[in-house]
Amino acid sequence: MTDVSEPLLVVDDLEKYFPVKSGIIKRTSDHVKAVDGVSFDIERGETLALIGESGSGKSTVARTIIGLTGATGGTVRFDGEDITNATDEQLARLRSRVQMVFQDPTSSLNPRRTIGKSLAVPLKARGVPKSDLRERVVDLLERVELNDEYWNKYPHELSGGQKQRVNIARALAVEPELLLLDEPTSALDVSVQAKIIALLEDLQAEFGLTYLFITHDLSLVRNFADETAVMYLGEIQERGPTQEVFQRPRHPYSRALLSAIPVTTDEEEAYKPRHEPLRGEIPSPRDVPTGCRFHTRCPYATDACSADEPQFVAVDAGPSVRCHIYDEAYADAFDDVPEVAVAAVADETVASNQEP
Amino acid sequence: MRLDEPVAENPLLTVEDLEVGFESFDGLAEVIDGVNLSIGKGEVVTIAGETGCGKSVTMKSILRLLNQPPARVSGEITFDGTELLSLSDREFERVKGQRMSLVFQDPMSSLNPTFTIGEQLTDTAQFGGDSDTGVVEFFRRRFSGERDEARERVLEMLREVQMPDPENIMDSYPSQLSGGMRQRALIAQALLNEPDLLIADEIGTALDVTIHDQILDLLKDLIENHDLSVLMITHNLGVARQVSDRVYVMYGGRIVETAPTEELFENPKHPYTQGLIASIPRLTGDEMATGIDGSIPEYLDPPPGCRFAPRCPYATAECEEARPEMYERGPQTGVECVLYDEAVPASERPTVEETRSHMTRRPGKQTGGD
Repeated sequence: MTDVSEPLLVVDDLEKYFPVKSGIIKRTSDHVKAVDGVSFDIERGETLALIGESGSGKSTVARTIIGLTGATGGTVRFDGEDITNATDEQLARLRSRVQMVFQDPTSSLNPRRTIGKSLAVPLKARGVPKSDLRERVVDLLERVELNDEYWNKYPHELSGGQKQRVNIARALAVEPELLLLDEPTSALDVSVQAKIIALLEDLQAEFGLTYLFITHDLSLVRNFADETAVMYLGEIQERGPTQEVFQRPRHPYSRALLSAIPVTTDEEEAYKPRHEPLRGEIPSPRDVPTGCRFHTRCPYATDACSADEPQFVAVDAGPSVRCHIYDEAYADAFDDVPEVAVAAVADETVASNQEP
Repeated sequence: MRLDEPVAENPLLTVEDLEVGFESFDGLAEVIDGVNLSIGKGEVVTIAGETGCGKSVTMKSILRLLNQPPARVSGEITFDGTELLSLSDREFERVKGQRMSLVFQDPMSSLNPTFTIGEQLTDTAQFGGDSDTGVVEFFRRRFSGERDEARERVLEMLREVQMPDPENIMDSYPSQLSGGMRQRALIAQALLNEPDLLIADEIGTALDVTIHDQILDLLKDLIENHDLSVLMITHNLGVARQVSDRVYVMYGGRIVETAPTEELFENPKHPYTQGLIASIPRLTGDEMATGIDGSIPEYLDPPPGCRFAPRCPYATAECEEARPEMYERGPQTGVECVLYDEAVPASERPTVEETRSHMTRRPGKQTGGD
């Protein structure tokens, strides 16, 4: 353990370009910029939600952190140690401290192995003696609120929610500090989703886990994450305390995401930003638009947006946003800006509502 | 069992006492157990419920998409005065092809990957509901001016569903289109023959939120412009609220509650509906329930009384004995729960908030399932 004050995970300017090869000699002709300069950090015991649509690069960030794909630029530091493109020896150590839970609970379990066997694998890798295995697995199952009957069951006998619990148990087997949760509930029904989220909250409280929670569903992280980062085309567009991002979404993309959620009460309807449907679809990361990446779909876009790339700067000491609307130099270019930009800052209850 | 359920005035489609069972090695699985529903002309009706509650089976039995056997379908399905279950396959094919359309959930697997969008949609425009034309008629239609007319119609429809660059799309294969564009192509295909009834199964669920939003907006416009009657199937109550006039909530193969959309969301009655609404993460940051305990019933051996009783926080012995009646029957409302018997004082009926608190933070840890 080095510097105690450093956050558990620090990702700095992370880049992952996938080469596109063409021709007979497979020369690299182009790059898919899946992740293009992403920076964030997560404090111990906290949760960062990474939000974005498919193709925004959010899963690639997680895969790069845990070393499933190599980074092409930038650094990842875990607990003070540089783990960018980790060596095998580093990875072996790392994977007992960082674990991942995947989206599809079915395909991440071996259908030919009983639950007990699946859960014993990481324990064996950690050198748990054979005589203790059964006991430890039952412990794990209890942690995720399943009983020891599951020891002999096969994945097909379980419901989606139960399978996801097993996956979480397996990730917990090595007693990790950081869990990368890649859309852990998007394949589940709402009532089951609510249970998995509650379980994750309990586990975090009990073991002081740190979460990187990747999802496309904004409403899910409202109560769950301490910080929220909104990704679009490989870049973080807005990052800040969850409360702030939800109460005053600043980036037009965050606003569009929030306003697109189908809600069930009038109260929530009033809470959503003005409905601003986006034009078109997410462009290909092979052919990233010039200037602001979002300008092709942005309802406020001006000429300046397609020409100059906006900087990622903190707005009003709140969340950081990558948008020209909040840059004084471009103030004249926009006429119909979102209300939040006009609203006076240091007022309201936002500051006092801030969760400790 | 026959339950008098609320029926829309002047219905286009009525389903009465629908029962669907599936034969299996372990016996008969009674999946749909006495479903009654109706769709009025020009009405948008949603069936909402979670995975495995029988929404898709209901839809498939209306459209005769279930193989019999192993499925066993009984009941009465009336479409605009015609009893559908007694029709021959050929007669049914005609009604289905010309007057009903279905948009499937998965926009990828519903289009043929080996034909261009233009070919597929033009075929639908020319042969929809009329596929056994014979060789001569086929060639006449296929290679005459009719083909060009049909093509024009398809182009027009693609423009109507706001497909970007429709001329080029006509010559593209499905794999060249994005998910949102495929969904638009499917909607266009469904509307080509001006159906009276559109059945939409989880439309747009596979898409990203912003695209899903666009598709729902489009669907709302189309429903209005074409004066469609729609049966929507969704697991997302938010979508049901946004689009539909009336909602049926399904659980365990039965309709447990129905009400006009606004009423249902303002004052949900059935404990299942309440639990479902309470489990949806809330934008305002209010605490959400921690889900409904237990899992959907085994259809091979369903609970004898109310099928929700094993998971219901308010269940009594009475619930486990007999299936509750539809109470609080209005012209368009009804709830299948004993708490709404007239003999029960109103103060004992739960509110969403009570159900939420019942389902928030378990008192003791439970094991078993989701």
